[in-house]
Amino acid sequence: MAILEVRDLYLYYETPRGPVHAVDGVSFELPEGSALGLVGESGSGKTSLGLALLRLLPKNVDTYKGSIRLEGRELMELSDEQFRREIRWRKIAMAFQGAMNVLNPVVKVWLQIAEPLLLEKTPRPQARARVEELLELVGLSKDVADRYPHELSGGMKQRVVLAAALVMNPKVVILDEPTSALDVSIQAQIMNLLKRLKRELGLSYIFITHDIALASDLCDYLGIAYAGQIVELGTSEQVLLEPEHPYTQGLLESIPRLRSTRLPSFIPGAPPDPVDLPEGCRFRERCPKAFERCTEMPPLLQGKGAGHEVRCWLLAGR
Amino acid sequence: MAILRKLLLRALSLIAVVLIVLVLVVVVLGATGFSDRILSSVISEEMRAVRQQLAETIRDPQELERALREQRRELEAFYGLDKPWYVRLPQDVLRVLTLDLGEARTVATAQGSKRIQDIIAERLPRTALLFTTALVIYFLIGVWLGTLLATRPGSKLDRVLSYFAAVSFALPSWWTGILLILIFYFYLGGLLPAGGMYSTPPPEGGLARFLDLAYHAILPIFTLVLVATGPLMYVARTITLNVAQEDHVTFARAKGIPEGLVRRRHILRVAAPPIVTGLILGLVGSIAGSITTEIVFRWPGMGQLYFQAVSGQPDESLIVALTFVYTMLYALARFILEILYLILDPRVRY
Repeated sequence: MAILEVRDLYLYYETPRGPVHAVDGVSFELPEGSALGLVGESGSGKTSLGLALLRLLPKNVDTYKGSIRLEGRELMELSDEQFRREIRWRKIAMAFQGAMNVLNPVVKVWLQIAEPLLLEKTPRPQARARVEELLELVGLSKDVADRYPHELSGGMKQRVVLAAALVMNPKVVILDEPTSALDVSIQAQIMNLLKRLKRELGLSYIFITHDIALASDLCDYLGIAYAGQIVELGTSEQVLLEPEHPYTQGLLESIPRLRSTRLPSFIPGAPPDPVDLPEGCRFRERCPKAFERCTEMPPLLQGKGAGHEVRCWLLAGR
Repeated sequence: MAILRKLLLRALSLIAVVLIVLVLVVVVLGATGFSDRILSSVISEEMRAVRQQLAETIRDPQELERALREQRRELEAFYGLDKPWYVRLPQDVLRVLTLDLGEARTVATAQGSKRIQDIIAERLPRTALLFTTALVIYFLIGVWLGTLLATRPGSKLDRVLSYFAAVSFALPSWWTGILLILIFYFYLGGLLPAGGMYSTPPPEGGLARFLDLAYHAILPIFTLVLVATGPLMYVARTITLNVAQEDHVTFARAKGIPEGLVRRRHILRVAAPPIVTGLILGLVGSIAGSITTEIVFRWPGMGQLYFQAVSGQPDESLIVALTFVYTMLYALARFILEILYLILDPRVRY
């Protein structure tokens, strides 16, 4: 059963040049206890999608519509206040890129983790005990609780951010590039921690990253995002072993391989301007297989069987 | 312990600032010949009186000239003009450093005391009254408006007040003071007094006297507030706006923290240290403005005293003593800032 069901989600930002199509009709399902990786380049709208799921919208929102169902409950119908009280952190939490400036520099670590608990009038000693439990869960010592963020290393901060995300026992955790600013060795530790938490707590993840190799390590499902849309969606095996979209194929070919003489190849060009998108397929200008039809009409996401969906005209004929 | 050592180091560097300022005062007064000119004009003035006195008792012109030369030599020795400035002035400075501020030549307290210590004790509270009141007002207005604007950057209110901030920053306090006197005293038919601390004669009774004082303080305080609010507001706006865009604020919102608490704990609390720095450094920078404001409004405080010390018949011991006191106040403000920073920002502790 899907714990989270997103249908036709749109998030446009208003700019003087026109609306930015950050999230442009995204749909997916997240089965309970599984992880969905959202992979894409910078500007593909993957972070906007994470923020849209938590309704953390900037002031310049132009369009925000679609359907988000959590355990069958439609979240788009909730008022902002209801959403804040009932959904944020309690049902859906988000672990940001913690090595950067996600933690408040002048507030002690334990208070930053315990803040939502204390807001619910949990007694301080109890909240404190919960924080210490969480810190141990993410592999930190209890005395980190009384430190300030600047006293911690990047890896420790990322663990604190994870502990903070887990404080209200959420069902779904959105992981937004949780390892991007870390050393490779620390990155591996955090990935192992994420896998352990998923197993032990039965969490469902949405893992946002630009690193398809990293996503394949953790995720059961993969969605490839390009210019605000999902261009390929399926189980990790389907997407990694039988990639159908030329963009996915390009991404996979760009991964350096240890035991192969083949050099990684790169996708030429840059993603399109999100304000001024090209007609037809959004990837066609960089696509080695583009043909006439790609310029005429935008392709739709089509099922290829067994839940594998691809947004490409190459598949239409088959 | 590390904190104490750090504070001690800062205190030492501020003491060095005080010493350097005093050395500069000596050089400026001495090397330019200003000090020598002051003293010789003082002596010449006293010599005129002496000449008249002596002329009545001594009839022989040659005898008179000799007696006058004798008198002048004595006066020069008394005032130290027989020694060069680099010997005389450092003695003054050393005396001031032992907190013996010396005597003023013409200025005196209401009781007639000429000791500079007494004069400052009389004047400092008057200045403090004006400036602490203004400070509280412009701190509250500036921080309130600044943080308010930060929540709606680019709005109409933001644009209007940003223009006001630029104008306020550019306004010299003396010019603003004169303009306000022109408006509220001349054009509006004496709605507010043009200057002074009390009416003449001052009203009887404690409350009436206080109200009269408040009535006279309105315009100078308004001037100071008008000049200082804009820059402080803009600094508060910019800093708050920067903090509000940081990732930890989004993180706090994601946690489901209500907006009011997000603003207090995650925006203002983080923005506080640099805003306080701006406030205290601005305060220190406004010393010059405080002098001119007091002069414009004939407010008999420290600023006016400084002006009296350097203009007309300059008074050297008053200049040295006041510079010392002002520099000490500056050092004190800086030291308070250091302590505030320790309290407000944990990153400073190590």
